[in-house]
Amino acid sequence: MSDKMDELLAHLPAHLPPPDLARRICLAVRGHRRAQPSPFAWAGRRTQRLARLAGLMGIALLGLWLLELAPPTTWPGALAVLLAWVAYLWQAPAEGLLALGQSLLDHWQDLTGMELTVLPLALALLAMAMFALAACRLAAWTEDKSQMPKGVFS
Amino acid sequence: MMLSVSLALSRLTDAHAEMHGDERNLIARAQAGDDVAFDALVHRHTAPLYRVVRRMVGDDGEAENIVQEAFLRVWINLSRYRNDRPFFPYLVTVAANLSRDHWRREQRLSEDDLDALADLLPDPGDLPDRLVENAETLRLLAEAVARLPEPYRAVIALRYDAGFSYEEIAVALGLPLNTVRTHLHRAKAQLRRQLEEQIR
Repeated sequence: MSDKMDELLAHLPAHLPPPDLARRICLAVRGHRRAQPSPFAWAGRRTQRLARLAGLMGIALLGLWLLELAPPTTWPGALAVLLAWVAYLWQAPAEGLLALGQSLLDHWQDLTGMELTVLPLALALLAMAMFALAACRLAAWTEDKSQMPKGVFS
Repeated sequence: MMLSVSLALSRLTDAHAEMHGDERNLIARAQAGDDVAFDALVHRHTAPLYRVVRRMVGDDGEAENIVQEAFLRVWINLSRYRNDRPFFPYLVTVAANLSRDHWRREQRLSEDDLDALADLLPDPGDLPDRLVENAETLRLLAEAVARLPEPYRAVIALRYDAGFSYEEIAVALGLPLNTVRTHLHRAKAQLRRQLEEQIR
């Protein structure tokens, strides 16, 4: 069977491409070549992994900072204070904002050296993570846009 | 007589070497950013690649997309291409990967389905003697190939349209060598059965 079937299969009629397919491919490849490279081309999978790591570290530091500032035993009191601030802001927004700003400033001045170091570090890590993740999204999006669409020849 | 045969053989070998040398030269120029050289490679290989891919996917539009995508991927990765390897098998391997993605997306048949299908097939024997190679037989066979499940079609296309060895097919499709042999055997058995039904 093999010999005869092999022989027949080797002589199957070939499908021919449309006459201008090669020319269209050349044009499409040149178009792709001339397309501006994405400014976010550096953001790949490794960046995404690093961004997730930085984000997790930022969240953990922020959580530790909050725990240091308000230990769990003080949470009911903190919740009551939070609700009181919300009610104040709801009733007198302008006055409430001024008072809140002043209160935060007072708290900031009360922070110790370690607390003042950890908070910016956590916020910086979170900001870096968000920027890197956004860059990865943009890189993937611009990559999709620069690919030739499916069905362009059909 | 012997002299003329050896002269002809030597000319053939020279032509073959010249073609490969020319291709290596084109690839080197394309790697250096020469658009014209890459265009020449596209023009040289579009028809043979289309023939293989069209047989694999069984659809004109999809075949054009895969051929286009294959050339684009080759162009993007051209700087990493090692110019001492033959170019066409590399191109076919890229296209075969894309075709495999295509049929995986379609998910028409799993390996289990293929095994179940194979149980229904007779053992391959000799083709009937009255089945001679003519245009009508080849047309019927081409139609039968088009009706094969995608993995079988791919193996047939790579073996007979691209001229790949079993090992090259295994690499191109990411399949174990034995699976390639099994697919090819089963594909031929299925084709034989379909041909026999057609000419009965």
